[in-house]
Amino acid sequence: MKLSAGVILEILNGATPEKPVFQVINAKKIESTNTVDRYRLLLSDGEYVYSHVMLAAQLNKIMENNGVPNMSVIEATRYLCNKLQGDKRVIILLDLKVLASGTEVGERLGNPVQLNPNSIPASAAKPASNAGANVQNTAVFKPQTYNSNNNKVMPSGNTHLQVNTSMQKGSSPSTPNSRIHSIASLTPYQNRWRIRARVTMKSNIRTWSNSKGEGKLFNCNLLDDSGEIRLTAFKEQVDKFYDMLETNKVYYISRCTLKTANKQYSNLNNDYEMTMNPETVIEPCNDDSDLPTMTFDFVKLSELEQCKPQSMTDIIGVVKVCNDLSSVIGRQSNKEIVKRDLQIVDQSGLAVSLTLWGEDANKFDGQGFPIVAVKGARVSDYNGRSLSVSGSSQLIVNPDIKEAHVLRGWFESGGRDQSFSTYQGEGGSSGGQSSNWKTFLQVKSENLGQGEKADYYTAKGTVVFLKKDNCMYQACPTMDCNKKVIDLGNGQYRCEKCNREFPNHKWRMILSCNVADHTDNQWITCFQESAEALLGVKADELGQLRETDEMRFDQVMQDALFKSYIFRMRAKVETYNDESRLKTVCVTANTVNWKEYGNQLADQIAQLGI
Amino acid sequence: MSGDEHTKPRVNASLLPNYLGRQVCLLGLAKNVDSSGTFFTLTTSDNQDVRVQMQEPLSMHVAGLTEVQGQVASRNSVQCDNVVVFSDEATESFDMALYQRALELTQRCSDHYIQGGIMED
Repeated sequence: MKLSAGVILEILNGATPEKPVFQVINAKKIESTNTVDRYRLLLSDGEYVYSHVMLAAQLNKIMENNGVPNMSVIEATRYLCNKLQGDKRVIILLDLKVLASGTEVGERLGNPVQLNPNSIPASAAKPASNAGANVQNTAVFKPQTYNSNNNKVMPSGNTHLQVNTSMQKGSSPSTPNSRIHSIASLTPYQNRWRIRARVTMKSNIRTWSNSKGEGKLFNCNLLDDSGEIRLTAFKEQVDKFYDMLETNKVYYISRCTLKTANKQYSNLNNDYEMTMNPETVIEPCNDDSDLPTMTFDFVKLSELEQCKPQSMTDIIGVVKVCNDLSSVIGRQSNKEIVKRDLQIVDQSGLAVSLTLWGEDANKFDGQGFPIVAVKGARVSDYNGRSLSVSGSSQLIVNPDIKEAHVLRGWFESGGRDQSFSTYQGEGGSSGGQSSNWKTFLQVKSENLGQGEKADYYTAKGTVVFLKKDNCMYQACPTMDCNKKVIDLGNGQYRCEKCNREFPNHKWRMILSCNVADHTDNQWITCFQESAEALLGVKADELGQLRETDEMRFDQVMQDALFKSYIFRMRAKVETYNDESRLKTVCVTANTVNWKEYGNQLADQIAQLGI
Repeated sequence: MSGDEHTKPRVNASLLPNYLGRQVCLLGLAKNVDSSGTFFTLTTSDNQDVRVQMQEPLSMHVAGLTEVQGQVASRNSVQCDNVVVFSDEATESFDMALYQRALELTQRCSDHYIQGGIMED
């Protein structure tokens, strides 16, 4: 019975001699609570004894059946040598054959010396003939050690050479040597595949910290001529692959975990997405000529209105305004997040706000009106329409693409001096730009309020009629409860909502009035504050008047007529009993600032170009 | 046009040459009231001065924002029929630049800003 003397040292130094013969000096079961138990062996080749030897888990049953008693001589049919952190090397036996049972051998063969795993001497023997394949294997575990020589042997097109076959075979089925799969063909139900794809987007590294622990991740988008897919890496794989993967470069990728895509985080046209796992293999590919490059489907800023909020879109624009860094506190994480607001413009004459976050915001240099292209910018309806470079977006500054050159040409030849309009937001105070000015005719002709969401607009109008009847009611005096109370007739008022009776009540206004401008008129409902503004009297005071001095009450109503205000309106079609009608609520009614309004009219006339 | 006799278009100093002999309305800031009270200077919204000639000596204090109606006597003077002096607050808050914009518009878009003329049925 001859052991393969010196073979341990060879293996530890990277060689893969075939079918080495060892003696198992000792085996120890390492119990594990979260994964399967493993066996650790003390292995001798007659020259050295090495303790960092593990048995592949599928061989456990041999040990459990006492198939390899101590001192057995075995042949390692398949094995591999892993480099761990700190340059520790572990030999893993994937398959073995017992040549002689320990009960027969009974003693330690030869006089082997214990090898110190922390200082392994270089192999005395010259590397075995198949050492070349081994370089590949080492590279599997440390992909960054790839060099150009390795890349050169990578085939182009659909042929595929052997790589990572010999040693990987044992732990999981190896990649077939056949062909490159297309991204579109990937499903979670197959695990032997290999794609060749271009990285079109690579996110920054993000970290998380929650009750379950903390970690980091990044993701990238991969593209081939069949489609695209998102690839996410967590923790160790971030360290392993983040620097290696570069935007716009092409890689061979295999052994990732596929799962159903979470469309909340991804805008790619693929039902699946991939996650890297410890088995994942990524290799650079130099020949990328036949793969599509990043494609944009740019939407003009003026067409953003047609984009649904929260959707993703590709946009390009000139950075007209670059604001300083600012920060917000994340709602969930409670952490400070830096951001930078830009205002970008394009030929459509619109200016839209674009927000950069984190690293993108930090690094951004707004000098010299740069052009930014964003793949997959998130559209929000904040302030009408605004854009955000989200985690799955890709920001490219001054891209070398046709659209960018056209845009630059336009900007330099007068675009920069153009005046830009902006999208109009909801709510907020009136005045200035963000108010969505409408005439009442426009409100009708543009069907405001007919959509899913309420429309907000601003209009200058004159009060032409006020409905006195039912313009106010007795309400629960509790703060924030405006529920109508029931007069119990005994000086007590009952609020059904608070389930209480009160000796008093407060007055709430619900005033219907008709307001007109030069184009049309509109029935609107004014609640407390806006009604008080129109009438110039507090609701409680008016309630008193109504009960005690009807003449003066009527006078208040009379005096409120034919006054003009800047109305902020909320329009929404509401349906009662199958009958739909536009309900317009006055959000605020402000007295007209004539200077502001006059200038605004003059601006509007100027925009008519007459 | 007979209607012109009854209209007093709002103008500024630089428009006066176009309105020689006609009734106009000038709004501006009054200054340099002559000690006799028979004339003063009005700086109109285009920042030019117009000499306002009174038919009778002024009986009130004229300063600040002032409106003058009268007949254009020369390229830079009007014969005053009526003077309106606005309050200090009005002077304070008046936006002369906006008034100038409005004047320019009424001139440029006279078809859309019809002053006077004969009403047709």
